[in-house]
Amino acid sequence: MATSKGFLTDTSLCIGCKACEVACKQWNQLPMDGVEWLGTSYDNTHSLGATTWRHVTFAELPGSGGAGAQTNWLMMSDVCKHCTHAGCLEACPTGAIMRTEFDTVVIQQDVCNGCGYCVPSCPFGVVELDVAHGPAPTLAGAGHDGKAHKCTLCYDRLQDGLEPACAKACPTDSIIFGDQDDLWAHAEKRVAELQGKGLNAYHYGDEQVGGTEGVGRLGASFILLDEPHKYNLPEHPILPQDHTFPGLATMAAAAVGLAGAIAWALMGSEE
Amino acid sequence: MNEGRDGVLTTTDEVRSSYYGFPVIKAAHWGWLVVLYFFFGGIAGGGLTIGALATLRGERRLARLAHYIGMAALLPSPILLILDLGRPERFLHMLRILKVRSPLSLGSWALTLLGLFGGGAAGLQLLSDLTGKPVLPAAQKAFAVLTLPFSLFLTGYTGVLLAVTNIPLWARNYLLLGPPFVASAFSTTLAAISLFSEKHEDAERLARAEVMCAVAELSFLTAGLVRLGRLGRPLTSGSWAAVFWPVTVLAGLLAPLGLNLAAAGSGSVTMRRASAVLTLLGGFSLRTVMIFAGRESARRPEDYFEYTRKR
Repeated sequence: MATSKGFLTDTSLCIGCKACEVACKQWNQLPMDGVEWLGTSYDNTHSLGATTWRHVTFAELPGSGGAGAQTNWLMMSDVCKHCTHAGCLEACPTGAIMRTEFDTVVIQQDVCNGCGYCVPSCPFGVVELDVAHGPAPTLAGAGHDGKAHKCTLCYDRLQDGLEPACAKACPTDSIIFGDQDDLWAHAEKRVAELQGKGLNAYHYGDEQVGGTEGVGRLGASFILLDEPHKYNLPEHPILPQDHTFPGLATMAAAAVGLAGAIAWALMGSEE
Repeated sequence: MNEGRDGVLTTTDEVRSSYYGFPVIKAAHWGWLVVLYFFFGGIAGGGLTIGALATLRGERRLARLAHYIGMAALLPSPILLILDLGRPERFLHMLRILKVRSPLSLGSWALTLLGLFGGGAAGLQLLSDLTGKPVLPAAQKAFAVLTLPFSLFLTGYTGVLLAVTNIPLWARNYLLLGPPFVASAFSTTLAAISLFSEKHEDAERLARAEVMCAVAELSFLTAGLVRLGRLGRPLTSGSWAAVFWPVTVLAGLLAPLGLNLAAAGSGSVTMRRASAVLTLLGGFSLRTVMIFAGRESARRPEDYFEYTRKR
């Protein structure tokens, strides 16, 4: 019986080497995104996308104390969060997005029809449609297929008892893979340790601490050293589908009310 | 605020308030195909609703026009939606399952079933007109009853579809995005009917219904903008404000309202025609600005952080 698997990304250990990005691209045969000099530190891929399933952020925050103060450099390897209540999965009208036996969220590529509804439904901007932009990919079978793509938490490797490529490649164990309960226990200890050293560390993705009750516990959670928005993460991600029934209720009330009013205004006098 | 020396946001400031100003979430890819579908889908829902109600009330003239207009708008709808898919040949995958919390799944089924029941109703209408006598009147009434839940759903679910996402402009306003779409669906339908309507006494009644819809739409939109507050800026002061205020609100809602009220006194046919054309333009522009301003909303990290702030 498989248990819930996940990632814990400890940003206090990240050295920004991007080995995770490379290992992910190699294992999953993802094409390059093209080189774009963004002028934003060492980050030249800027976000997760259809062909970038790990993305290392480099936020250069000037320290307090004026000129000459030490820069606080926040590095974090971002990834799909594999939410307990996943907006993409609930939005998907084809059933292409499924929850696996490892409690991870995976898009079945042979079912996805590229409707794109999962894209704005993700609270973290992870999923993307692979539509043609930039040069055509050279790898056979990859890219520009019009379908939605994201991290699979290496579903194929998990089925064979291997850990995901990014966690395997990470040289500092900033990314660790394991049973979610073990990761949670580890995170608790690590956060206490970091706080003991005077760092403002906390566990992002924990219902108790991170306040992510909208999407539940994050299968891939993070130990962060600054406010979530500095890593481009929302403070309180919201599950869009919690709005479906209230939204439909007001819509239906308006529809029935207006139809009745129109019937009253239009009809009853035709001979 | 941490602004640079010249009041310009520097990279340093962007890093303090977001991650170099990069979007946090991804916008929907929806463009003109979906705008057109939202427009036609609204008229399909409105037309088949009015057609069904008219059939049940025995109003033959109205039933005939409403059914034909509704059906004419329904036919291109699935084509537009299929063309918008990344893999159009897989459109039937929409009907593998039903997900009651996914408006897109609900909409796919509603559109399919409306094609069946509304198509049946419109087909019998056509047969009745061709033969000159009512064909299967009992079946016509049965189709009308079966059509109503799905045609009513089609008038406004597109607004709920936008609302059930993480785009701040749509999501914060989730209770009041469906209702203006409903009102606009009915007003564009009535406008289309009035363009084809020949009887003078019908025009009077159509104008009355159009005024009700326009007032309802204005109220829903206003309440929605109040609810949105600063998150409404992509619509009210962003790049789409140049369409929203002059076209959607002024030309599409206030002008037809004025023309209809003026025509009620004078009975001017030209005024009523102008009002109908402007209403159709307004309905199309409402869907255009909502969809495209949503892209701008998704690009603003500060808006998303405000939407997801812990309360």
